[in-house]
Amino acid sequence: MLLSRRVLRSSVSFIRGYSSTTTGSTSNNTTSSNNSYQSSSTQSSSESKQQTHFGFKTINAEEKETMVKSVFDAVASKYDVMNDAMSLGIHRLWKDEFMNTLNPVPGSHLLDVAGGTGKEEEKIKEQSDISFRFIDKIKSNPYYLPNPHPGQLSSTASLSSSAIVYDINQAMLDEGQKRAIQNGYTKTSDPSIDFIQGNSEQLPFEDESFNCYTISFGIRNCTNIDVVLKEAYRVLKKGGRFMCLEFSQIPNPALRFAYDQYSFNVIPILGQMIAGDRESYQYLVESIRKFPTQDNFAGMIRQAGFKQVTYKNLSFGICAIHSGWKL
Amino acid sequence: MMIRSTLQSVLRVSSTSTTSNQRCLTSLTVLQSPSSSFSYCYSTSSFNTTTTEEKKKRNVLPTNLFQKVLLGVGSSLIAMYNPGRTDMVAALGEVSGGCVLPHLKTKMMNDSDGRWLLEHKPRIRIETLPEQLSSLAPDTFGGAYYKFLTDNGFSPDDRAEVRMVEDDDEAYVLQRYREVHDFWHVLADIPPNVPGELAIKWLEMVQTGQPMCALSALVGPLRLPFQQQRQLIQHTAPWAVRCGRNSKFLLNVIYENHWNDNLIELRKKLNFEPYSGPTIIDK
Repeated sequence: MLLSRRVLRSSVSFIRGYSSTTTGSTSNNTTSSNNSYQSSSTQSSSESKQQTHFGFKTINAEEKETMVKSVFDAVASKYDVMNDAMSLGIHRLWKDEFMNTLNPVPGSHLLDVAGGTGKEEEKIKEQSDISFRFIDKIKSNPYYLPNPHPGQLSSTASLSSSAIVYDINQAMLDEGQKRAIQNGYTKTSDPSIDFIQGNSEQLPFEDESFNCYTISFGIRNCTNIDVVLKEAYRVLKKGGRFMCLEFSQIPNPALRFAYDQYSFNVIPILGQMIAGDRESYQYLVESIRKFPTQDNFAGMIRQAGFKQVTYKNLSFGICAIHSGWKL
Repeated sequence: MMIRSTLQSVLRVSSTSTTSNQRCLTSLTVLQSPSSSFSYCYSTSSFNTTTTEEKKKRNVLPTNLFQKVLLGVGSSLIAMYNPGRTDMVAALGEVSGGCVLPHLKTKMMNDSDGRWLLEHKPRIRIETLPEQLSSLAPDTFGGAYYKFLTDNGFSPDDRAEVRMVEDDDEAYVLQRYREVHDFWHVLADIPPNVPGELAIKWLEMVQTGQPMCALSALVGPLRLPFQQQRQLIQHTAPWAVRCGRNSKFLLNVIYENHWNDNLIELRKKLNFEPYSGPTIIDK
């Protein structure tokens, strides 16, 4: 879900070339829920073509759209199922480990970049969002004492915590906001959660305004990774922590071979079968290979100014958690 | 086997820029009679008529054997579980068609209309349909086709592109097969509901011999209610077998030349027996 939606966002021009050759309405609808630029451009060109020809085509386009949309609406929501299918459910463990490593205490203020949510089917109650895990971790902390009068200062209650979910895609933020309200978290609750839209290379926050900055499965798709890291350094307070969860390279050659075979042979086919979209998943596995190694990325984080930069491999190196401190 | 492979290696050197006549000659000398079609599974991969530029134009998705098997198994299961996933049926067709497409290509090569089709590769899309199609009388082939499209809200652009077949000619054969499907509905006078589609699948199975058609034709009816299954066994399947065997090889027909033809006369010309049993209704 998180992986594939960010892939789609960042691979607009890549997919545009493919979508023009696949069927008109179906390709629009598979990706329309994820990528507004692409669907509007191909749709308008095909509609203008249709209006110059037969009368039945305009009727046909509308009817067909609703029919195809209903078939592929089911497919679009399967992007979340794709995450589970590709990682065999292990992505939940990765995110749990990520939050355990951060180990936030009450009073922390988190900025979760590229943290938008996908559509989850209702029966999947598992919350895969980093910020929701953050809030749960704080509330389960043994020293957490909720403030009985929120808004008023209290000497006995824990310091208030907050999380901000920041993403470039407004639709994903809206989805996350709906889930947050369902769980009772708003801008004024304690801990609070807010959803802000924007570009990770230009954060609209003041210097030194957060304790924690997390980015999970998002930095791979950023155009300028060093700019993102510099911005992260800017908005963190002194003593703040930068954490990044990202796909990485596997050190062991035999496992790397097995992982490559799985990535290139199975994942695009799974994407084609479950989500009806092979190109995005092909791009996903290729972009994972292009991302720098754990050590090189740690070097980039150090260059941005962070100290005590360490990394931890998860699942033999399939993912890595990089951590740096602003000291 | 040895002789065939050496002949093919000689031909590969000379086949990069051949005209259709030359291609026809080479196919007649190299490829054997249609009865030995199974051997094509092994020999055709070395006889490649496609250059890389042409492949790039078609946005070919290369797939290795493992991916083909995985996709074949997965897509057939998904198509069986959810017949609305037409992209899965199409993927199954592309992945499993490899054994049969060379044989179909030979059949087209052996016919002058088929050769013309393979040389010019005409596509059936909204842009290529004639402007006056809407004004043709409904007893003509073109008028009946237009009525079929408008009644059911179809468009010829709905067909997915063939992406996983490497050879250009074979990809065109498969693409043509997808695009003339609606014409077969019109010729047979069968509505495009679920049992109607199965009837046409049976016809396609007899005419083209594709594994995907065979799978749909034999497994698809299992999901039907009993009345429709009975109608299929008693009326539509025998019709499909009869019609498929007696009519001309339908992929060799240049349908674009017959828009103005009277539908009944066209059927006689093709020796195509339209379906005349009880009406196929999807309850």
